[in-house]
Amino acid sequence: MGLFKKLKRGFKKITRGIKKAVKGIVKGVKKVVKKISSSKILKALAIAAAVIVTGGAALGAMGATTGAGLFGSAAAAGGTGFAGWMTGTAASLTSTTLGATLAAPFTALGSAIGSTALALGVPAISNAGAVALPTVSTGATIATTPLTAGAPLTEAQILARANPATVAASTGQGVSLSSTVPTALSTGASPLTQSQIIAGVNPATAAASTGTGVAIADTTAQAFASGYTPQTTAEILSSSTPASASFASKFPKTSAFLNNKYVQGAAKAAGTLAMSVAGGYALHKLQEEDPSGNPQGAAYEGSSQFDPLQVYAGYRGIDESDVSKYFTFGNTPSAGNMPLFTQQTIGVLS
Amino acid sequence: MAQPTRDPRPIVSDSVTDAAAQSVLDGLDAGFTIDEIAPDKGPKRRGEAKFNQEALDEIVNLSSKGRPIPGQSLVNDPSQPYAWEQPPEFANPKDALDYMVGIIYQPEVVKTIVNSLLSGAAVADITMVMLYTKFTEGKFNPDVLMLLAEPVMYVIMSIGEEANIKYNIEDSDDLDELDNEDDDEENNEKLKEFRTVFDDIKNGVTKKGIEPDKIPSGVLPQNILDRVKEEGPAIRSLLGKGEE
Repeated sequence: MGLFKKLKRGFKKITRGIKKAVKGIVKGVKKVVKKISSSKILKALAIAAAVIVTGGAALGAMGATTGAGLFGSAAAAGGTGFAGWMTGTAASLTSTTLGATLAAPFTALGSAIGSTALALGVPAISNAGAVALPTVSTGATIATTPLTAGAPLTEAQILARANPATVAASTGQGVSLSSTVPTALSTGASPLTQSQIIAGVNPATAAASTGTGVAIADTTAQAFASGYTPQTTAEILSSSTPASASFASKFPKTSAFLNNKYVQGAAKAAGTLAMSVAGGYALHKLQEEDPSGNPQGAAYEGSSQFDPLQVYAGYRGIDESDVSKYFTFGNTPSAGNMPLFTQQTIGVLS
Repeated sequence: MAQPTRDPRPIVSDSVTDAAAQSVLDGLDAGFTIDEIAPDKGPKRRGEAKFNQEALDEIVNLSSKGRPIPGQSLVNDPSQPYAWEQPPEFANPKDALDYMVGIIYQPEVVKTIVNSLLSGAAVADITMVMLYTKFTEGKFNPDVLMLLAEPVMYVIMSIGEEANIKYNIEDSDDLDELDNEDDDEENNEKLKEFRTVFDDIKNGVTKKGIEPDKIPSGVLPQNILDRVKEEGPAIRSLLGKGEE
């Protein structure tokens, strides 16, 4: 039997024990309360067990400090509730380090889970504390007048590419940017002429010379990547391919290196290797269904994994199968302690 | 809210279930009512599994993948063991439990657990997955895993209770089975009571002498009362007639 199946069998024992305990308590409680359901007992068990297991920290984690939620109700204000009674007088339950480190998940998630639950028809978890938003009350009032009253940039300033921030700083009043762009900029002068385009005239230069900007027509020819001489009208009309510099002329040293016969041989070998890798990959894909022996976790069971507790059990004279009984729970200082076996060591003389 | 009459008794037990059971009974004995111990939060939402073709396909795909070839682990490099083949991080179950509880009570984990419980996942399965994952990460060995199973299950159950979910413990509908058992038990008790009364009647408990003088006036019509006085024991009721 594999490890996983063994664990599953162990879990079955535990769940059977829980159900048995529920029935046992139902009988015990029925002596006091006549009508009681198993669900109610299970809830009581879960609350008590969570308090015991977490050393009382579950109360804080579940929002009991706000007095809300299931645990809050069980804790009740002033520690008079059942959970409060359990933890309030049992010092060992609150002495755990968990109390300080546990998050308060239901307080953090209360609204989120509550809304999800509500959408599904579950009553909301209501122990999320209201988030108090801080009020900003100490900042000085910001004067708005200089900002709104600032003069717009003049056309001359715009054309001179004046920085609005600099202008604002110099006037001390700020600058309000006009919502309407000056007409000259939006329309500009006449579009670049064909001769200007062919001559490679820079639109920015043309705009600076006219002082009114240039509207760039979106129908301009698209032949002007840098580094190439623009084609002539005749070339454009004849649809000839623009001349480009050869790789060899641009990179003579690299070209010489690549033409070396050793380099060419290595490149050929690399190509062969790449082809074989690609072929292998394709073959692997084709043969994917074959048993490939994928490693799976915990399919192996080593006896060494069981050693520490076996040694502990042997040392204490405990039956190995009963070793779980020696990890104790409760509300006394001794509960929960399980000192591990420590082997006596022999000192080595130096 | 009732005031407890005394402090809790010291409890030490080898199982959480037993310790919790003792605590609940101790609380009842100290003056708490069961409603104070387990407050009612209204009707619960049933955790139900919904059919999901995508999830089923994924499981089928996973299960159809290969398994380790016998002896495969023997060819692994000993200098690079798996995490679970190395000494565990937590040898002491108490430390391991603190570690697990710290993880479980993280807001995102709680959210996932609540969603899983609502989707019908059993508490035992969620616990198993969480602990087994930590085992494969080399946090503790299988023995410690088994020691943690019960407390971790209770922590998850407490989350389910807080979220007001009627969750499954091990199989689907096992809590319903508990409720059905309660109903059966109640019905059996009623049947038992009925049989007791029936047996009493049958055995002639009703034949006890009726003293007409002690019958309060107005209970019986006067003519019947006169007849009882005259005929006395000769009158036999249908129930007291017995088998002849």
